Amino acid sequence: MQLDRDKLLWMYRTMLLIRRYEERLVDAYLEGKMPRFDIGWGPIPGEMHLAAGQEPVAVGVMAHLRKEDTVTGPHRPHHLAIAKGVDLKKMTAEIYGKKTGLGHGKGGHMHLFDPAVKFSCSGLIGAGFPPAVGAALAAKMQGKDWVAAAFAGEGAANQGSFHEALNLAAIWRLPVIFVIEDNSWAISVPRSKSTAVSSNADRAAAYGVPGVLIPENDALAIAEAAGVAVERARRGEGPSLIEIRTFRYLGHFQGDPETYRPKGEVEELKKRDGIARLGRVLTAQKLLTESLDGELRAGVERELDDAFEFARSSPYPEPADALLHVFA
Amino acid sequence: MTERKLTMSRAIVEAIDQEMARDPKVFVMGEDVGPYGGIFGSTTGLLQKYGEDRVRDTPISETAFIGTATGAAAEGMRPIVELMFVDFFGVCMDQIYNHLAKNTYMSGGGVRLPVVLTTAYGGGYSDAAQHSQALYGVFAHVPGLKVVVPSNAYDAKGLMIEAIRDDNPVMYFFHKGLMGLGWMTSPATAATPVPEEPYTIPFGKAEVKRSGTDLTIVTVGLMVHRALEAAASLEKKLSIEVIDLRTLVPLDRPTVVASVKKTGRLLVVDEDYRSFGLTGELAASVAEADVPMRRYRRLAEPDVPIPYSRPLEQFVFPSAETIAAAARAAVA
Amino acid sequence: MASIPVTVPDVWSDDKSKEGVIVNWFYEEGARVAAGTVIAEGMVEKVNFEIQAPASGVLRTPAPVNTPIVPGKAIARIETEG
Repeated sequence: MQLDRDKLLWMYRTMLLIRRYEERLVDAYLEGKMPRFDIGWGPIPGEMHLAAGQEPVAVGVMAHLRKEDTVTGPHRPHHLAIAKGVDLKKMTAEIYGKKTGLGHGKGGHMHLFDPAVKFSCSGLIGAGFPPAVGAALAAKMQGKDWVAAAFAGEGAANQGSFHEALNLAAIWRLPVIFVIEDNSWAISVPRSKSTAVSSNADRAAAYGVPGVLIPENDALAIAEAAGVAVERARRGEGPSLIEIRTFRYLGHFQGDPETYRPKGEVEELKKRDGIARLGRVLTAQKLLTESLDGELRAGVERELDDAFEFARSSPYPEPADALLHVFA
Repeated sequence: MTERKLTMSRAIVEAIDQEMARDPKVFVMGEDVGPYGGIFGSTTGLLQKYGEDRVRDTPISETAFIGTATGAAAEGMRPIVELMFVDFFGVCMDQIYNHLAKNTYMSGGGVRLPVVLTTAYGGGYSDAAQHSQALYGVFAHVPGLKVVVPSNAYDAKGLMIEAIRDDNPVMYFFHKGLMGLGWMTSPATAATPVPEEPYTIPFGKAEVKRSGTDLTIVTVGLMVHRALEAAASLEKKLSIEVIDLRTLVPLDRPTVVASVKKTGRLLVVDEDYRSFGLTGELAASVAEADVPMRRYRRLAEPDVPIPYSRPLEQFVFPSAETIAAAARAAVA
Repeated sequence: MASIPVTVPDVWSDDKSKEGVIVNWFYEEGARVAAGTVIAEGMVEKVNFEIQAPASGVLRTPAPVNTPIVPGKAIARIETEG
């Protein structure tokens, strides 16, 4: 499937938006936590898992998804949420714990729910696979050509839910795409120490499902594979597995000292940055000029200014609101 | 030399270290227990000392590696296996409650399973619904598991050595906010003097951490510190006895009953959910003992998932202030 | 009797002016400690590190937990005999 100019520029701009969002959160998260880092302090307390470096995966797959297609994400969800079209103001307000947030402050950054664009995420590793299979089942039962996509890290591919979900989706021929974001690290454990095969794409064969490995953090290569998988699903031919070797620039969580990580690894990865890569391709194709690039970046900053301003100025929920919404 | 103080995480590591040195059958496995030293500092330095064969990082496969602990224990090993957050038990509960907990019984005592299952619990730092729970009530409810919840470094070391030497499955819960981690505040009272030599603390022995005559407060873990703060803040008006249960299974009912006999009033404080848990268990236990009890009250996490936003989370968590208010109301 | 300062070791990666903090003391004012014993814990850039007693003696004037620290800063004294 060919990506037109608008789609390509959407991919590029969305990656910029994601990267700048995560960079702003690095700073915002540290507010109130200096000089002593205490996880419970500041306007954004708790855990924070940022996806700087993993932007190509989000835009490569979402380039082929519509609003009605379901996405489930992991504990590191921002790039996926943004690319899926989650309301950025409400998402940021949720991260700030405000009443105006997606979950009215109840969920926080690992538990972002936006039913309007069928996005959800969970803090439990591997928990997103079965619900994505469920969304695909619902689509099939209702005669829709909607698809579902479940995103998780390479660490999640060792969790039972991954294997069960793949098998079930395969035997029931469900329109779901399993996307493994292999950023090499499951907190401190590298893939080489956790996974018995060299690529999770090879595991798809165990379930009779096509599996493809994208060895580069390349939005266009990812989009090509995703296009094939999504079309296959929409035609009713069943699930697919895509694994991408992507990059985690920051720690597992903000505050992770990363003493287990080889020195210089991140600098090396940045030389192959996915955003710069797409930028070069688009420039070569004359779709992106320096001035357009400047415009896009300025627009991104304004959009982020609005989202963060909305979040900061929104009120907190009333303490007793904690008792609401246990049941609908 | 004068006694040194340890943080609770160092006390736990020292206990494991001393037992690993003494008994080659003891080994550790779990996620990030190797180079990382455990997400909450429960295994710091052990890999460097004992090597990869005895300190094993696992894949994210709880059902597999907890079941592996059960199987290895049945064949003579003494595994210490870590479930990173107790909230994750859903992905592996069958191995825990249907196998680890029941094999000894179903085999008529023929099979021994000397497994220590360590796990981090507790909230108060905005980690939201799936990473802040206590849940010891769930495990205490299922027969066949011992449940240990230390509140300070001294107890943590003694209870850990006891747990490792016990031939039965022991769920060892440590509160994240008691470990003395640089990046998460602990109460100053969690770190205590800890003897250098190994020692044990028997299970089923609660400790009266503060004596009193007007009211008995019973609790575990972080809430012991909050209850002590509350009792100190009220000491001009009320004489409050604070009991640290230390273990939920076995449960030291006699100590609680004796205290309520003295004070006539019981307030149970619990970070776990209110209904169908520790607070109800203690009410029933005291009632069954036919001890006259003028007043019973409980202060627990309400029956709601733990919310993320700070004002919401502070509303649902018992604090020194809310415990003090509950204590005053219990005596009024 | 001598008074030996307990100084923060240089475990900083690059920016030496970036402040860390003292996060734990394992001994209190007046405690006897042996040379080399880990007596405190610091944290800089989220990495924990140990601080050892430079000599055997009595620990004096430990700086409180949360005191900002940089490499070489004195955070306590050891009073030695002779």
